[in-house]
Amino acid sequence: METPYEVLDVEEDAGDEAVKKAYLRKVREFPPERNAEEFRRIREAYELIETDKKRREYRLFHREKPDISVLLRRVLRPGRPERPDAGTLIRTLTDGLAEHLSETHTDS
Amino acid sequence: MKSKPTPLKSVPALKAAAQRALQSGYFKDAIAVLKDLLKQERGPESEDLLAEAYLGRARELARKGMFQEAAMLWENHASLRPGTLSSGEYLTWLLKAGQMVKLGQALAAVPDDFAASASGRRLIEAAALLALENDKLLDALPMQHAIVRQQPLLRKALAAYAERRDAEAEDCLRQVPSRSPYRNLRTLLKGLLALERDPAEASKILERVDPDSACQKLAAILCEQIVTPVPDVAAYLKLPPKRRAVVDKLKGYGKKELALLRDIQNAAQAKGVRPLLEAVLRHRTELGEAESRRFCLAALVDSPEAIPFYERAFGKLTPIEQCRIKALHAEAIHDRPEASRYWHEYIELLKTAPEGRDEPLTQALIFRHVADLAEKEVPELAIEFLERSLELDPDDKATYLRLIGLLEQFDDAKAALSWLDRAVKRYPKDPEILLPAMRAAQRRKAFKKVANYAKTLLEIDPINSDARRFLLEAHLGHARKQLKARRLDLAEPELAAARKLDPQRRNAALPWLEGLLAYWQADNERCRCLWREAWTAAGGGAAAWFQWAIEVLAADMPLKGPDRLVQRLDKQHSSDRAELMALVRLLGQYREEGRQNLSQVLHKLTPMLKRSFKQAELSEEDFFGLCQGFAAVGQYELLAECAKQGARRYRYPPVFVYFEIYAKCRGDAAGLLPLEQIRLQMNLDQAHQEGDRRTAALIEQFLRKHEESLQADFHEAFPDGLGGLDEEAAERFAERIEELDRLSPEERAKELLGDYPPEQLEKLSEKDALGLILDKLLGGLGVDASRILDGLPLPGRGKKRKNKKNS
Repeated sequence: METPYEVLDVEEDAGDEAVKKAYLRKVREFPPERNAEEFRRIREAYELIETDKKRREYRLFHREKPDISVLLRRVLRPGRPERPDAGTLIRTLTDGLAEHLSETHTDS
Repeated sequence: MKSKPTPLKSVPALKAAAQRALQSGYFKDAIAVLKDLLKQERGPESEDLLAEAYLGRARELARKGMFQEAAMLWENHASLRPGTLSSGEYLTWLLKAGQMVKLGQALAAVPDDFAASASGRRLIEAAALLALENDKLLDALPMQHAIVRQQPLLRKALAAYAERRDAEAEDCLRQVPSRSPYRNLRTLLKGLLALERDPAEASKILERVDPDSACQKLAAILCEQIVTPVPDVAAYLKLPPKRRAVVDKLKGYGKKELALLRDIQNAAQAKGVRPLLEAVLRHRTELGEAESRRFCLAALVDSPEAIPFYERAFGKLTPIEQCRIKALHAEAIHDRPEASRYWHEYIELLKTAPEGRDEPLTQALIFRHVADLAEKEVPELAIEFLERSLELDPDDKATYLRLIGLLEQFDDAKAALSWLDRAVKRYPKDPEILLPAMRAAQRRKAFKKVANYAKTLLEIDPINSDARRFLLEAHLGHARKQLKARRLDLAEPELAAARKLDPQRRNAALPWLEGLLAYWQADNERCRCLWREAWTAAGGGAAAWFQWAIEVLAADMPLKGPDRLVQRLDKQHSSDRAELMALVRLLGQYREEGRQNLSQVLHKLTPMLKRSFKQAELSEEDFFGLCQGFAAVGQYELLAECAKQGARRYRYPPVFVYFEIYAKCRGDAAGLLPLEQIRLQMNLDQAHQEGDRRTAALIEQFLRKHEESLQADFHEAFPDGLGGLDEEAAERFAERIEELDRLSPEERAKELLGDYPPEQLEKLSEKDALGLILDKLLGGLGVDASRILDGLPLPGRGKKRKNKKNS
């Protein structure tokens, strides 16, 4: 999970002016009409830290969720791809067949 | 519980038992009985019943996961019904039981319509996939079956793909027909072949796999993990081992990374956060020092007991940071008092912290946060925290409004006004502050203040209708005050200012007051004329007369005298719906303005209004509005009559029963009698059943108040007379009281006076009723109840009902 500072690419001790500048820079980079989802993320980040009061509130009360998958993303870097052999592929497909048939209500 | 069949001899008895067992779903018993029956008498009817019992039992066993047994019973069933074709459920049970030879034989005989159905297609696809690695199944199928003909092509394509002979693989796949049971596997393999060359193209191909195909899950995983540039790690960690192995190969994840993943994942599945922290610390070089630290710090909020462990790895946390972590932890587990304690500790630590961190703003923010936490549970606690926060940071409009709202909620008008004044000083031109300030000033009749606030608001927003209305009301209010003090010269300019604000003279109060001024100026003709105008503006009838009377009494004048100058209500006058609704609106408005004499003036209209309730065309909602209005101003005589008429006309809906009882108790829940309480309880149930939430809320509130008054009585009324109890008796007495406290009001009434029929209870005097209660409470404790009774102050009129209700 990125912090609002990371989203806006601004230092944690930045003041109102610097935060606003960073926000405007990001909005120029991702205008809402071109990337609505990214713009929403940027806007939400800005609203969390736009004033000194909000930055203090964020520092005091924000609870970061410890997300192990974020940590592991760094480790899971692709290497040289290989292909699974025929047996592995077949076993992968047949492994959950009973479950698949139950899920699709074949035995009703 | 299934009953064992008793040995039955006769055929009819066996038939009846079999039917019973079948109808009750006891298939095992039915099979046993039917077998006995068939030993005595064979017949198609009994055989059909046995077939049915076999099928029922087979399904029962399949639901328990006993597929082999289920398949055998299905075969028994089919043998009794010649010509039965293999069903989908039978084939599925064979597949799940791993009975490949039987599955192959059965598949060979499936009817075409089943093979073409959705469930048939899924089953045949599953068999086709199994046939890729199961020769027994393949051998059991006839040579011309699609699976047998196409399986070698797919095996070849799979091998060619794995060995990177892509052209050969593609050539094999091209030969697979579009209606083949392997068509989804063909699409999947095509996607895999495109993966390294063109991931976007691969994604499009993989999305074409049928949603109900057995290949769909793997296709979706490939899209999610391989095609997407940033794979979903959380989803990856949840993959079953075989699917994950495919992803690992295709992504080229190294052994070292996979070992690390396994280690972290095992730790994440362990109990508590410590094993995970340990695993992260073991791999912090690979995971990144800063990222590991951030992860561990975030994890401490869930497990603050791991703080020392964290500190050993990353160095000391400041006491203030530890406090923050513990406070957030307490919040996460919904322990508000503990969270509040840690936040207060945080503030104390701030005061002694270096680097000048003792910023009042931070403290104020913490107080506001603690108020947030408290507001949901103990809102009165929030008041103090909000006040302290504003002392430290007075520049927070939202907090002023929250605080004022809370103070008003707890009827602390004085404090609310004081904070409103401070808010107005801070935000003198802010409509959000000025509007509540204006309302508050209006309530305490500070008309000059109202006028000032309204003028400021109108400067900012010239078309603000609220401000305009308040300003007009302020001038009228001030004029009223001056008329009451007989300062006619000062009343006149106020009325002139009001006239400017209401040039259309829509507000009837203006001509009423102008008439009063004329009356004091001894200009009777002008007074009569103005009051005629006011009478029309007020809609005439009861509402107009009511308004006139309230204005006259507000000016401290008797009604007799001025009444010769105002229109009279005819003795036979009966108000129609419009008049009565105008009266309801006036009651609401006057009550909000805190006007006096409402009940007294209404009393003068009682005969006429009682007549009107019977005659006017009033809806149920109209009756409700009237009842609510009379209840709010404490006019219980009219309330009782109005509720009675409403109840009669609308077949006694719970709301009018409630208002009748409310009127009988004169709005005092403590005066509720047991019978009325039971009636209310029954009507509450009815209101709930009818979905009438408004009435249910009214009754619940009244019963709650009654219960509170009862509890107060138990704790307040008795202790004085109990001086003579010895320790043991006192303890037993306290136990009895505790037991009674735990009961609902109805149970309590029943416990105390359950032996008496309601008609006798009604006839009891207060003293007798109280005597009975004391007898129940003190019986066997060696106390002379009559002595205590004599010592108790017997209630006066209001209290009389109160004590009676204790029965």
